[in-house]
Amino acid sequence: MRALTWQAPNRLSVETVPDPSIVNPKDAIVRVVMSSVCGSDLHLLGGYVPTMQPGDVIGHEFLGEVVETGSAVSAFAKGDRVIAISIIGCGECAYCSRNDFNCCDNSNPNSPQTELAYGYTCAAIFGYSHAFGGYAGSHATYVRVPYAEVNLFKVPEGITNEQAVFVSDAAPTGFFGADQANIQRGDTVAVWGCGGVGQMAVRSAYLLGAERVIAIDRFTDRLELAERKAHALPLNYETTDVHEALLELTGGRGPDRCIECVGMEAHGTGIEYAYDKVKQQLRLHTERGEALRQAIHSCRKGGTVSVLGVYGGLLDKFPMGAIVNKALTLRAGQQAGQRYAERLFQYILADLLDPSYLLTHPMSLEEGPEGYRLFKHKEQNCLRAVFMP
Amino acid sequence: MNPHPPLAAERIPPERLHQANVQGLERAASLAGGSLLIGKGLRRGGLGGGLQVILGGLALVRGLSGRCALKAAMQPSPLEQQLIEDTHWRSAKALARSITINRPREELYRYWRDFNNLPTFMTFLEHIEVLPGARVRWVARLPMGKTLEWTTHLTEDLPGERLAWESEANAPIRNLGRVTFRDAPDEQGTEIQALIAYEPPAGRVGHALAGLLDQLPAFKTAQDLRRLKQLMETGEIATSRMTRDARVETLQPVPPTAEQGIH
Repeated sequence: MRALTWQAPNRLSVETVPDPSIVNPKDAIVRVVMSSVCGSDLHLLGGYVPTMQPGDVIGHEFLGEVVETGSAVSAFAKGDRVIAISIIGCGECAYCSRNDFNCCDNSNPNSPQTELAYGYTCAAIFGYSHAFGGYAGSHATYVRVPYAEVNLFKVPEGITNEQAVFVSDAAPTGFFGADQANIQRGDTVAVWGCGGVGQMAVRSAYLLGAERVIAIDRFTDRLELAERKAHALPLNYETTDVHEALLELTGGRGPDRCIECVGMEAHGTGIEYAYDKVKQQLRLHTERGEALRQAIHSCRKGGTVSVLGVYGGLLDKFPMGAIVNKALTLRAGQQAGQRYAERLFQYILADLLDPSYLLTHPMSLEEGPEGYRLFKHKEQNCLRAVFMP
Repeated sequence: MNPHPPLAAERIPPERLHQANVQGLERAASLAGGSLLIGKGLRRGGLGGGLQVILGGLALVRGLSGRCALKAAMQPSPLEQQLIEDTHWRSAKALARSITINRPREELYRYWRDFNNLPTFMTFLEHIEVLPGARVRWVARLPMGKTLEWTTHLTEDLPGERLAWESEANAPIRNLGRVTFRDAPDEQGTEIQALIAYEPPAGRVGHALAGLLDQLPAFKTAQDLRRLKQLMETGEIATSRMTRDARVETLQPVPPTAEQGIH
């Protein structure tokens, strides 16, 4: 089969690799119909995530058709139109049993790396480095899905592929961030980053009862989409002082809930950004924390900061004083999409959510490297390139 | 046996923390040797001389303070000390690891009690043979295709709670294993505590050598327990392999049992 592989930092190539087959009884093989790029792939691409190996197949947000199932899979059959949740759960460990699939204890066969780095073994993710399991990703003709009955979801009739593919990752991630933010009726929510996940976080915040959502970015096309499609109030941090603006908009209180959808390669305008960038390039720290610091700084006293952005290691100059003295709650995590997939499908069927506008660049798999180039440099207003193998 | 054995994580007994451990002739030798090395290093100069000065300085500090961190780290931990008292070995190296498995205590005990099951999740084992009289013959894999064999007998068997075994007199390396099964709080299944200990060859030096070698086995023990957890909870061992025959591995996925349905 053909697959988009990581070869070295900033070097991708489409290669011919062996087809996957059923290895374990709970596996399914899915023929990929759509596979989306994701902002978190850019950290892999940029070489910020260690334990990538040349030839690794990337991609973790996909929709496809079941072609084969293992002996222990009965809920799915050949021909089913499905999406897979990008963070792999086993469905049986104590974490999965209480719906914390993102904390799964069993899905990661390469336990030592995350155990060393983070203290415990973390759940596996499709196509997301060997530390996170070493599973081949979805930018390929076929993908092997472990624990199929836990991680696959049939797409209901009446939902298009363009809508459903994002229920794999962007939509549940945004929803998870809003859910973790503990939004109360009437709250003002600020969302940092208007990529696919940020767009979904804005919409999810409204679905969970927010009165008003403010979206922060520097790309005017993304801000426009957040305003037009998700009804956010847009703020461009390159032209506006974000903290001042948030105070102005909230009667001086600050947003009740802040959702950070940016992560370790944050951009900024001030001296702190320059400091972060230099230090990261000298490998003295792994994260650029401009967006996260701003969210913590602006969040109202007693509010919640929900972190969806990907961080890999150690962040420097972390404003612990603001968290303690303003009594903030900090929540974070990879998405537990298995919790939300059915609910998100219901929202889509009821016309309350439509993620399809994220798909700006449908492309063939062979155009994969070009798709990532457009996406990385935000050329042609690329919000998401989606490959159709 | 002590109802509260020391934690495996306890490295140094508290009373030894500030105790001088370099005395008498050894201390005098450190002082003299350190001074000599510094002198020689200064006369010689250059990189080699610099290294001699540093080495001499370390020996001098050792002699002056009467303390040597390296020596302290080479001494047995409180748990190992207790094992030495239990077994009358010359010295002991212990590896211990705990894991919580979301299955009932009796089921996990039963699985472990059938020693034939161990090679399924313990990668260092090539083969297990259960002999009459609760004896077990172990064949472990060594590098370069070699194997190491020994026989153990059960020293404790409390169904659903505890299993312990010890090597027989003719073992090439004397060793023992202890596994306890305890209900985890809040119906999270069972906490398994596994302890493997052995008598390092050649006394003190062997102990220090084994300490270096242990870094890898400690992780291996943890991974073995993870594989057991994956197998007992999900009925299969997690793998990122793309195909069944991509790499030759001894791990055979087992079909899930009826009770391991999906919630």
